[in-house]
Amino acid sequence: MDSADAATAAALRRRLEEISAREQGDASRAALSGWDLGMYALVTLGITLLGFLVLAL
Amino acid sequence: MSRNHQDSTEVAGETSGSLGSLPLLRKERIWNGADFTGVNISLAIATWAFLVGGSTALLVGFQQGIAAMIIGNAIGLGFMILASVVASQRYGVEQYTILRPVFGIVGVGVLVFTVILITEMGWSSLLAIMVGRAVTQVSNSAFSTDFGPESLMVTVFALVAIAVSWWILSRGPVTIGRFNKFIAPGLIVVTVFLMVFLVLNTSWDTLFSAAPLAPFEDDRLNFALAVEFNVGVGVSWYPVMGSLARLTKTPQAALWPSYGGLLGATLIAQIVGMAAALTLGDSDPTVWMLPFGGPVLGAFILLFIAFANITSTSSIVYSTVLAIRQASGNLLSRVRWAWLCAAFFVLPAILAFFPGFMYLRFMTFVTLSGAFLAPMCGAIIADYFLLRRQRVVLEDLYRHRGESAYHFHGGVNWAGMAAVAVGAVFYLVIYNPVTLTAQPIFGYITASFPAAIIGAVVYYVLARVLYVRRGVGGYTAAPEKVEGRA
Repeated sequence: MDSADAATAAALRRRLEEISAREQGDASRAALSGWDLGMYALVTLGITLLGFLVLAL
Repeated sequence: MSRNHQDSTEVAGETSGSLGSLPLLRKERIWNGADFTGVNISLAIATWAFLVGGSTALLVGFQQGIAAMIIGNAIGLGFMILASVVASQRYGVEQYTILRPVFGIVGVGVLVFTVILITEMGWSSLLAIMVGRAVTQVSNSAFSTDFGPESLMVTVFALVAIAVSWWILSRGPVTIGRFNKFIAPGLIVVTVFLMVFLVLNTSWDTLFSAAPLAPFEDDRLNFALAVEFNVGVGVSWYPVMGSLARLTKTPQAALWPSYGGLLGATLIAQIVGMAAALTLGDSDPTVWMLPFGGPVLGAFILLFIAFANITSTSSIVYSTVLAIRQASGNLLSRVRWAWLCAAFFVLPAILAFFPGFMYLRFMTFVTLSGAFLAPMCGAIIADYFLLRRQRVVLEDLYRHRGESAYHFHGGVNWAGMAAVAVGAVFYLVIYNPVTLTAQPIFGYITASFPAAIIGAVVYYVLARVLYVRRGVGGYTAAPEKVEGRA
């Protein structure tokens, strides 16, 4: 194994071109939606409150 | 991307990066939500979860401990995942490369060579010492030797563990993956074994009435410390998560499995560990197995745990050594991988000579690393979600020096560095893990979460004053396209 496979500027350019040409708007490159972020915050808050509930019982 | 931009794009040195530092393409993203959930469960079910559960039992009893674990991990993982997973997944970029807009290329190097390196070295040495203790326990049981938990033989076996970890690491990620394929299921079996034993040999009444093993006098402080410790544990996943998440196919496949997988598996293993510690009156997982499993099964489990620790060490060190190489620019690009891995293990090997100190200071080390990682996460969240609105110019992550919008001044984003410094100072003022002095307010708000908020606020204000208003740092809204400049 060689963890340091040479990454040339050409390899980077090829990748950026492919991303630009074929992956714009692809689901893999979508931003996290407001709904997802809101749900994530709510779930985190809910589990935290569950912890306090365990403490209070 | 225009041709001019392509021509001016250069990796920092033809051989300084690795293929791993380049943005991944759709076809290279191999994990859906179920796959990534499995990966996270495998990570979280490692033996350090038993150790954390046992250490939590030092401060609080069973009910308070469960509450502290839920609250601490929910909060710590909550903001750690937003900071590490989301941007790396979207852009398919290794997590220390995607940090360049927040801290600058030199700033990232400073953080990698201090906060990240020290955090991972500490965990490595602790896991190695745990191997030493496990093997000496087996020796004491099988050969009637009398090696104490701080004896030289613990150090000797810890050093052997480090040597084997280095060997696995030097073979690369494929070898690490091969070992982990049976280690993770094996640790699930060990966890189930501990659960069954606890159910058979103790009662809920006994567990709920068991006193903490070594608490302070102040109950509120004990609970706050337990929560803070678990927040620190959640945040300490930061160094590995982003580089894994970029292999996922969608943002949802990265976000929910990392939170659910890490939280669920961590809580189960930690609660089992805490119950075992309270039942046997010892926080050290290597002490539990012989009383639980008897001389044969117990010894087998201990040896399995020892090997699991070795592969866990290889896993966490792999991403760190890769980050070191990338953060060093040209400096370490030509150093052989095996030598770089060997250099990493020098400090853990030295620490292995102080097994008692490392176990005693385990909580200190976790919370201290959290003092720096928490404001780092805060700054990253403020940068990516508030200031950049989830938009980074992919090309600028790789441009040379002044050609990159993320070069700032001298390669350092001073807003990011100041956010980490101010957040860490705040943390250490309200709770100092070394001297164990805490302000009264620590009992109500703990330290990591407010330090993360302070890091976010300081970053937001300073970045606006220093860079956004002057048009420096590429904060102005980039187009939705992932590669182009605004």
